[in-house]
Amino acid sequence: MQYPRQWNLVFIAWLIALVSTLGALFFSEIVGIEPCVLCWYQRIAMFPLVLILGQGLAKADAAAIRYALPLGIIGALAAFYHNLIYAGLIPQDLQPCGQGSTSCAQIDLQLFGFITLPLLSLLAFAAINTLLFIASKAPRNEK
Amino acid sequence: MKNKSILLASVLLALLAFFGAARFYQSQQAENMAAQGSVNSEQLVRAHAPVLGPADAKVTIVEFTDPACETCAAFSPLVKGMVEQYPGQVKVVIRYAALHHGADQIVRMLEAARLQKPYWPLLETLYQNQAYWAQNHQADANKVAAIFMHEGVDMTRLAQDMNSPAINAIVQQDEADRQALKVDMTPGLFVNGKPLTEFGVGQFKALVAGEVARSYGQQ
Repeated sequence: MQYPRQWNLVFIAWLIALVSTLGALFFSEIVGIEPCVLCWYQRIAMFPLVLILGQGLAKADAAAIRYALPLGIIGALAAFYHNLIYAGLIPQDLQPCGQGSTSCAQIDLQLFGFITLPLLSLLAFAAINTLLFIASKAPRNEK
Repeated sequence: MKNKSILLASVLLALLAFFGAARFYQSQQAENMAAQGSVNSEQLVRAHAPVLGPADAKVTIVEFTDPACETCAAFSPLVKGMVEQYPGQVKVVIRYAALHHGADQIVRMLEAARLQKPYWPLLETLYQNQAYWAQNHQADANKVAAIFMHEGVDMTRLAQDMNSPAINAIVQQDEADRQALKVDMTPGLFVNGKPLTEFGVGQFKALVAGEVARSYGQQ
């Protein structure tokens, strides 16, 4: 992994994943908002990023970027879909989680009138993917 | 080496922020609950609610229960034990929070059976056979019917009673009070109007002991 530019990019991506992971755990475990199915898909993509990128940073191994990107893209897709449901652009009967106790369309938390958890999730995934993408394009003359 | 220190420091900082925020949030919640708790005494105890213990006991434990809830079944002996532990000083009032799927039907059946048989053994039978009739958090009314039939309940009468206006009123009142008191987990316990803010056996015993001491003086 290239110092300092590539390392720093991955480090910022890792920090975002760390804050997102702890934030998600805060809202589910402390505040008690039960995650819906789509939230779980985003969590499945987000939580491992902390470990994969963290290990990559610790070992200065640029390969971690390649392992992390697919997760980040899947997470971003799930978050994007979730935001469409929140915005009402996808009708109720198409959402995959109508039967459970928690509906994906139910907005549990809203800050300043427009910041919701799926929006934060989408922003986090978008930022992580962008950073990792730029980092992956860095010249690899050093390993 | 420097990289790892930065990583470690970040993780520690993030964890510190997490637990700090958790502590802050929980203390805020406890304050809010304590502030609203005792105001709503009317919503806690209704005339229709089953009571265990002497009517003139100064300490009232209100338990919002779901017959299909496993923790309620586990907590039940402890809650009822308080009546024996503090004879004449504590009474228990049962309200319903039918949160499990199909549990409202079971509440109706229980209330209808209560018109025929003593209430507390019926509730205990439900709790003890919970694993049979409430598998995978799905309450099965047919299995409860089999249990009640075995207990000698007249099922024809029960079928008529369980959808009567009187029992409709009980179910609706309990649900309205449950929502007003924000009981969204069971068992929802209140002692003399004070909610059990931090759930646990020790915390519950301490809350009851504190209220007994306050109402009857130190023993």
